[in-house]
Amino acid sequence: MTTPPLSPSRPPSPPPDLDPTDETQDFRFLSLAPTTSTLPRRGEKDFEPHGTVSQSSTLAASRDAMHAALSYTRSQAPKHALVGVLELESGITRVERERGIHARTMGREKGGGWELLPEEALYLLERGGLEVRWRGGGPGEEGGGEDEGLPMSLQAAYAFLVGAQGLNVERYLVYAGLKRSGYVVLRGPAWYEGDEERHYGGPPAAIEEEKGWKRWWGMLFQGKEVGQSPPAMGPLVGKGFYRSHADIYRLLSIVPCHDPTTATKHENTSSASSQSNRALEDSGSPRLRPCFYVWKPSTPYKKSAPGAPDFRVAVLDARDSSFPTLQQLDDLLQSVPYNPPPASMERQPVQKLKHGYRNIILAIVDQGVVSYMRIADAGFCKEKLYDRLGRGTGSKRGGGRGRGRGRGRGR
Amino acid sequence: MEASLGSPVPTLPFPISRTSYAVERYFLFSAETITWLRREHHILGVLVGTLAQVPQQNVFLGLPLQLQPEEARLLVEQGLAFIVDDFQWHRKTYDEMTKEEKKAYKASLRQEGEALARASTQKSQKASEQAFRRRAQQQSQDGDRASRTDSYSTTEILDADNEEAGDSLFSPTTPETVSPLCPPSRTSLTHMTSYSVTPTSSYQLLPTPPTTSRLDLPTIKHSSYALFRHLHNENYFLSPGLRFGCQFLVYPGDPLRFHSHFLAMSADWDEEIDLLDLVGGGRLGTGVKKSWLIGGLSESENKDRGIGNPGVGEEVRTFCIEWGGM
Repeated sequence: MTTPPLSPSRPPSPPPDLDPTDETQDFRFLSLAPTTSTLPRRGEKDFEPHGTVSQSSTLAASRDAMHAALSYTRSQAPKHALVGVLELESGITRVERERGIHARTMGREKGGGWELLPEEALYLLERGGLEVRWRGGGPGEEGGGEDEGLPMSLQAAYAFLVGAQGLNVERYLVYAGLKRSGYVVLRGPAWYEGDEERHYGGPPAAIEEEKGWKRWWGMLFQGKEVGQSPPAMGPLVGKGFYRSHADIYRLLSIVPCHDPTTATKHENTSSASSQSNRALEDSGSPRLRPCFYVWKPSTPYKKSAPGAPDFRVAVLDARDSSFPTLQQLDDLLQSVPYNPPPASMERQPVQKLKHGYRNIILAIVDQGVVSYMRIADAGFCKEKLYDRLGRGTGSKRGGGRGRGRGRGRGR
Repeated sequence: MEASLGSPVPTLPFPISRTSYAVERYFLFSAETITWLRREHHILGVLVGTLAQVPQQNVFLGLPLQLQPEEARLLVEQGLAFIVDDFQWHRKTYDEMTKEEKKAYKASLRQEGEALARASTQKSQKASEQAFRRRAQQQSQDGDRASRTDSYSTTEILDADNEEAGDSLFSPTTPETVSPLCPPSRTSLTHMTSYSVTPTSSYQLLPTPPTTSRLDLPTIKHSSYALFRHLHNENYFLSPGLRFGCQFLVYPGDPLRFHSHFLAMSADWDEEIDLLDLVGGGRLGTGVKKSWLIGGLSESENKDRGIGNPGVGEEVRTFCIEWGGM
């Protein structure tokens, strides 16, 4: 057997659109990535086994590297050791003194101590930053202090913490994955099913009023007749004087379409929301709610006042549930706050469509593999191509249309 | 062929941990078992835990390993493993531990922690020795003129080292009086406080659960298990296929070394398959240089057998779909 190549040569840099987590990575490259700033490059893989010694020894080296990486023992230096005690009934882990940077974004202070939710305790333990102890009710336990309780293994922590306080494996995997990427993650309404979740509300009332004014403006200067239903008989475009093609197109658009800016109105009242709830229950599909509120690492985060999250993530299990129905998705989207495209996207219709008026991220977990997808309530009826076509062609109304464009009442 | 690998055969049958909050999930916590399974039985699972040595990334993950229910079932059926309800078992074991057992448990952890602390001190000692050696070499090369500034910076290095190691090894006198190869003093080792250790698996400390406590087999969709079993028997490696929109990714060898060849979907013999799924799967597979595979139990077999009891002689038929570039 030849000696395996111990230091693999650097493969060429990958195309930027490749996600390195898509494929199993060669653990030999782990040693090349001592810091988090440089992720390991992808290794070259073979098409199929051809039984050569070179191939099998490379594989053996990869497996050895994997084994070595997995055999690492988690430990904390005595100076920085963080020790918590698990209360089995509540699933809460109590740490006497809070230390370290994680206290800025995780857990909550209580009575001079630090309380961790099951997923927080498990994550900290898993990354080697916390020792969780089991304080059994059994006899012969020496009194409190540093020696109290039995330190748990990672296995015991999984056994005790998964299942506590609504934490299931899928939720934990999503939580840990986001935390490893550096996000700040808090629990969302999905954890408190019975409760009436905190509602971030629809579009502010001020916007609604402005719309009313704009509607009038649009009618006056652009000849738009808002909400006009097509005539019951006769041609859609009747006799008359038309100043642009857009006016004609407007009259031709008879297919009703969902307007993301107005859909909240009936949902905001409690009776309507319970109605939709009943409709969902009738269809046999459970109600979906955001499971995590997520803040980007770059967003300034304050534990006492977290502010609006950057993302809302709902967790789905790929094996035991199918993709949400339209009803479920609509109900889910209505539960998140109105978040229209920013003004900077005014001239980028595709960006606007992608951003949507409400959005949610679905984390779909299949046996430990997590995929994320973003679902947005796209306002296709608000991005009229015929309105854009007329713009900037030097027509008389050029300037006026620049201002009037996108005010959202044209139909 | 791969005897160089230092992973011994685990005691058989080995326990598979089951968490059962609403739905069952299966985990393995032993690196030895995982390496052995991968090498000898082509069972991959998915590593889902944080790798504690490089925690802030998602490319390389560590223990535990989540087993697909198909994998868990296969291992149990082959008599290699049995399933333990981890919560019940831990709870029972912890509750029934005597005072002496608890003491032994803690002592064993403490021992490991002391060994780690010793290793860490030795490492930092080595680092400071190397720093001394470098300094000494530089000093011998440099003239007298530079020696004053040099000795100053050496003291700085010393201070930094001492802070890291926690224990004073060399007294921070002028470096000229210290031999760079001074042997580590014994006192620094005995005064060492132990590291707090979190073992990965509980079986290092607690008795392995008795094989009599075995639980029921994982319940899986029949067609899915039949296809998994069939491909696994043909020596393929299978992993969950969500990222490519299928049930299993099928590899000709260990995914550490090889790309997958097939995107597999299982179906019952009479199951209607949406044409759009065929087109979507076929296109996606061809697009990533793989082929879309659909398979299930053939009709006669399906009728003869009761559902949920896959036998050895069952016939699984598979079909590959590729986008023809005519």
